[in-house]
Order: sequence, then C-alpha cells, then structure tokens
Amino acid sequence: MTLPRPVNVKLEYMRILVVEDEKRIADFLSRGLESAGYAVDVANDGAKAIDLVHAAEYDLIILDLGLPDMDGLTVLQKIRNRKTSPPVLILSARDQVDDRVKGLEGGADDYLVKPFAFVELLARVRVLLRRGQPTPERLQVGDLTLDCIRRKVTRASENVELAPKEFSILEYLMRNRGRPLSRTMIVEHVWDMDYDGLTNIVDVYIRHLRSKIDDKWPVKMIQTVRGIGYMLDLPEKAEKAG
Amino acid sequence: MARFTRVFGVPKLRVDFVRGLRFRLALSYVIFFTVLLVVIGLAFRKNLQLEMDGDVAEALEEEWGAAKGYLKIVNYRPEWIADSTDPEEAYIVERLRHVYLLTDANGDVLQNSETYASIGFDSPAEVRRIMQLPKPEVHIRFDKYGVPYMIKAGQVLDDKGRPYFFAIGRSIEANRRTLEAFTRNYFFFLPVMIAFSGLLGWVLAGRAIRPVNSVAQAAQNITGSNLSLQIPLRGAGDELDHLIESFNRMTARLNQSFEQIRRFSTDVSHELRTPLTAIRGQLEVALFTAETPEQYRDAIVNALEDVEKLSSIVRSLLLLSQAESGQVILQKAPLDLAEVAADVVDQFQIPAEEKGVVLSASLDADAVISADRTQIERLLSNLLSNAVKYTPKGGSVRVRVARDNSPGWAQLVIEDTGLGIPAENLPHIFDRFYRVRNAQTNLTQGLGLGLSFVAWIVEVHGGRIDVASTEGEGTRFTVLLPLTGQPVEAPPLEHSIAEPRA
Repeated sequence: MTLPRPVNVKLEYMRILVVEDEKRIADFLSRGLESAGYAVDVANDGAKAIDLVHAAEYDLIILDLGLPDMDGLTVLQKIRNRKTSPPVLILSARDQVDDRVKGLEGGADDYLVKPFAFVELLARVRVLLRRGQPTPERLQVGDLTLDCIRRKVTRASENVELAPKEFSILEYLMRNRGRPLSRTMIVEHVWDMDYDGLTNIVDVYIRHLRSKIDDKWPVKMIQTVRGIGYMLDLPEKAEKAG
Repeated sequence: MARFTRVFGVPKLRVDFVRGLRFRLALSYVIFFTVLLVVIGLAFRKNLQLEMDGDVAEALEEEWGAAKGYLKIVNYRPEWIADSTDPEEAYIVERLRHVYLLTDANGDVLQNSETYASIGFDSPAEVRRIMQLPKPEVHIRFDKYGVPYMIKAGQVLDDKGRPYFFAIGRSIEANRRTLEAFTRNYFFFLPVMIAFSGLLGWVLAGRAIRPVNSVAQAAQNITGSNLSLQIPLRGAGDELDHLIESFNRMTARLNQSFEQIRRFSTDVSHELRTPLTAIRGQLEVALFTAETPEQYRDAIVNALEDVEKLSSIVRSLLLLSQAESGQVILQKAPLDLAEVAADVVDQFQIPAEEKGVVLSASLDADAVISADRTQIERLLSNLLSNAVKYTPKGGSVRVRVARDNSPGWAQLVIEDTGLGIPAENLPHIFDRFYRVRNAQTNLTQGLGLGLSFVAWIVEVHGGRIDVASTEGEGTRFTVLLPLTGQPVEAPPLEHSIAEPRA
C-alpha cells in the first residue's frame, strides 16, 4: 500500500506547521506529511508555535489542543490575530460537541478527533490547502460540467437531473478534482453535521451519482479510493495519482 | 410471542388512592370525629335527662312534704284538710291529688286518683317492701297509654301512729319529649357534621402532605443529567423543610459524585486516546513510507512501547477503581514503618544516584503500625519516585520516620528540594490524572494516578496526609499513621503552603 501522491505539482512545496507536544505523534505526523510531499516544521509547545508563525509563512497549521504551556485555543487566537493567517486544522483528544464548536468558532477550519486515520488527515490537509484559491462558477472535468449558479449539470452536452444532495456531493468532488475525499469529509461537508456512523449514506449517494453521470458513458469519473473514500477525475490522471 | 418496549423518561409513580396518606388521614379524622360526636351527644343527652328528672324529683319532694301536711288519716279514713276558701290551697291539693294512691299496710286501696289506677296499683308485696324502707322511694312507671310518671312512694302514719302506704306522682312526658327532640335533632345533624369534618380532614391532610408530594414529584424528575435540581425550601423551618433540606443535600452529594464520574470518564478517554493515536499513526505512516526492515522494526518497537503505556494505564485504573470500591482486601499486620522505609529507600538509591540527587533517611525504629505491607511500600515508592523525579541534579531527598508529637501517631516525612508545586495546584494533586504541568521542564511523564493511590492508602489505614510546598524550593509530604493498639483522635494538621520548612 502506498500513500496517494498529490496530483498538483505546486503542492509539493507547501509548508505545514505541526504543533504537537507528544513526541511520538509529532514524529509520525512530520514523517507522513513529508513523504506526501510537504515541508513540515514541528513546534512542541504554544510559545514556539507562535514564534514560528511570526518567523515563516505557512500554508497550513495542524494544532493540537492539549499543549503543556498554554491552551491550544489561545494559540489559535494569537495566530488568527495576524493579518494573514493560514488555515488551521485542530487535532484534539476531546470529542465533545462543545469542544468541536469552540474550536471552529475560535477560527479553526477543520477539527479532527484523536485517534484518527492518517489518510483521513491527509485528505483534509489537501482540501484545506486548496482553500483560498478562487472558485470558478462553472466547474468542468472532461465533458462533465457543473454550473454552480444555475445548478445545472451536463455530461457530453446532455442534461443530467440531480437531487440536491447529489448535486452538493458532485460539486464538492469537482471542486476537489483529483483529491481523495473521505466519507466523513463528504458527510460533514454535505450534511453540515456529524453523521457519525452514517457514512454508509455516502456510498448510497455515490451509487446514485454514478448511475446518472457515469454509467451511460465509457469514461468513468468517480473513482473509489481504497481506505479513504472517493475522488473525481479523468481516468488517466486518476491512474497516475493511484 | 415475547415483547419488550423500551420506555424513555422517568415513569411516574402513582399512589393508590385508598392507601394514600391523604385519604387515610381524612378517614381517621372522620372516624375520630364520629366517635367523639356520638359520645358527646349521648353524654349530653344523659346529662339533660338527669337534670330534668332531678327537677321533677325535687318538685315531688316538695309535694310529698305538702301532701303529708294536707292529708290526715283518722280511723282508716283519709281526709284532705284544705281551706276551700283559699283558691291557692285548693289548687295545690287538687294538684297533689292528680296522681296519688293510699293503701293500708296490706296494700288494700283506701283512696286513689284515676291516673294512678291507669298506672296500676302496687302489689301488696311491693307495698310491704317500700314501707320497710327508711325513706320514700322514687321510681318511674308508665300508665296504660305509655305516658311516663315519676312516682314517689313511702309510708305515712295516721293519728294513732299506724303506717299506711302513700304514693304521689308527676308526669315526666314533657321531659321525655324534650329528650327525644334533642336526640332526633342531634343525630339528624350528625351526618352533616361528619361530612363537614371529613371535608375539613381532607383539606387539612392535603395541606399537610402537599410538600411531601412536591418532594416526591421533584424526586421523580431527577435523573443522572439534572441532578443539580433542588426543591425550594418553604421557609417554615418545620419537619418538612428538614426533609427537603436533607433531600437537597443528598442530590447535591449525588451530583458531586456523578460529576466526578463524568470528569473521570472524560479523563480516561483522553488518556487512552493519546497513546492510541501514536500507535495508529506510527503504524500507518510506516506502512506508507518505510522501505527498509529497520524502519518497520523501529515503528513496531515504538508502537509496542505505546501499547505498554496503554496497558499500564488500564492496569492502574483497574487497580485504583478496585481499591476505591473496596475490592482490595488489606492484610494488616504489625509493621515497623522504619524497616519498610529502609527497604524502599534502598531501592531508590541507584536511580537517585544516577540523577545526581542525594537520598538520605533518618529512621526511628520505634514506630510500629498496623498496616498492609504491600500498600505501605506502594505509598513510599510513589512518594519517593515523585520526589526523585521532580528534584533536579544536585538536590536532595530526605525520608524521616518517627513518632509524631501528638501521642499515638507515627510520622513519615518525605522532603525534597525539587521544583515545588504551585499553590493553586496543591488542592488537586490527589485527583486522578491531575498533573502539574511545568513549562520549564515539560515534565509530563506518568499517569497522574500515583498520588491518588497514596491518598487511598493513607485513607484505608486511618491516617492523614499533608503537603507543603514552595515553588522552586521543594515539597514536603507528611503522612500520619496510627500506631498499633492506640486508636486516638486525629490531631489537627497545619496546612502551611508558604513555609514548607517551618
């Protein structure tokens, strides 16, 4: 089993700051992220993290909430006070809804509860890194187009009728073309909440989507990524990525 | 077919009406009132009758005297001497003669009134019986129409001193009618009064048990999640307020222990997640990135270390929960505290030397306690390992065992010149998973369970533990344990935080 490599060559030079006091966890995070093509710095307490954020430009910060010297939320606040700040992904052993809400309200962009699957983290990192880039009103992958304003989907100039949730999933997949998205991420994005244990529902919707946009045509765009979830791309590119 | 319905929420308890306190109170009220009213009624009636009959008897007494004055018997012939010109006297005599009987000593009637004939003449035996009595007798008899008369009968003498039987009477029918009317009215109104008393009883009982019901209702609404619910006091300061107060205190205590359990489970899940994350992440990343067998080997070795950490957390938790729920059986025996301390101190000499910490002991052999050796060793080693761990190179750790100043207590002191514990952390150090995070050293090793064990061990041995610490100077733990065979009151311990070396 190999780690899915990032498709976009530009991503290889992205810098990630990992703020984590547990040495073992910091170690595997930096090793894993580096092997996925990112440049990684590690800060093992809040003070060092703030220093590093001031000293260098990061594209993403992965922040553990339980730090020895200060609360992770305090660090988050200090980072957010700067004019430009990178997206922040919180890692926490606290899984209460309260904690999650506090983290997201405090300015975090995503929240992942320990223990997590590394591929899940990686998928989230990729989506977060894409943020901030201008989003087109019309998305196109091969002969598949999606009009975000008029909410219309065509495949090979043929209109495709989609239910609202199917449309949202397809839009999410197309915006993140070539990036694997986990089932949990799709649930969180499309249903706007924690459908814990209901990730099966994603498989059902993907099956519907495939029957509408893929089954009739020889080129299949929705790919299953083993161990993670789904990805949308033209097959040649997907093979490269896989 | 078996069926099961899971019911959510708290099922409402209902009190059976007939067995309810309110019904029973009201019922006993009614019974009490009924008996009371009947008894009062009967007593009153009897009293009324006695009084009215007494009046008649008094009148008869007077008439008896008058009759003896007006009646003269001469030669077996009775004569009523009254001045016929005096209308008053004539009236009196007429009245006297309304009910009367005069017979000779054998009961042969000499003279009588018609009414007395209707009542019936006294038999000769009765005449003889009454004539032998020293005083006239009063009794009640009825005429043929059932009208009651009070009769006074006795003997009178004629001019020759011969005895005759004489009786006069008065109707007491008016009295009887009055009594009957009273009885009828009284017992007619009795049900009304009983009904009224029942109503009163119902209302009073309702008022008395309303707070009880409100307590019961509040109790029904209390579940694990809203234990902070309190029943408002009524401010009466009575027994029910007392009950409510006890009840509120009970829920407060329950709330506290539920809170502890909640916090504990959050802590446990937090403690378990960290090593789990490390294990999972390391293995996953190794699977993706490792190329050489050495890299795999490293990942597995690291993961195993974390697994070991995880197991030790679980083991300690299990032990602590067993200890605190009383499942650990202590094997208490007379124990020389100094000897145990010497053993444990020996075990820590090498780690202390390696760290450059001087470990010294001053052990007084005269402190024998009744204790479980394993637990006392655990107590000593937990305290000593903390002391050594938090004392920097060049510092010292001193262990002292002696008899305490207050008689009956052995004293164990473990004193270090370590980092000290910030005052605001002191009250929490015996809590499970509580660790003082120190920014300078970043020493967050250990599980935060050691002092919880220490506290438990001291508690089950009936002792006291005191901690005094100054940040940057050191910490002193003082444990007091009762000496054998001398159960005494615990002496007060000073809680000095600022002056550990006082």
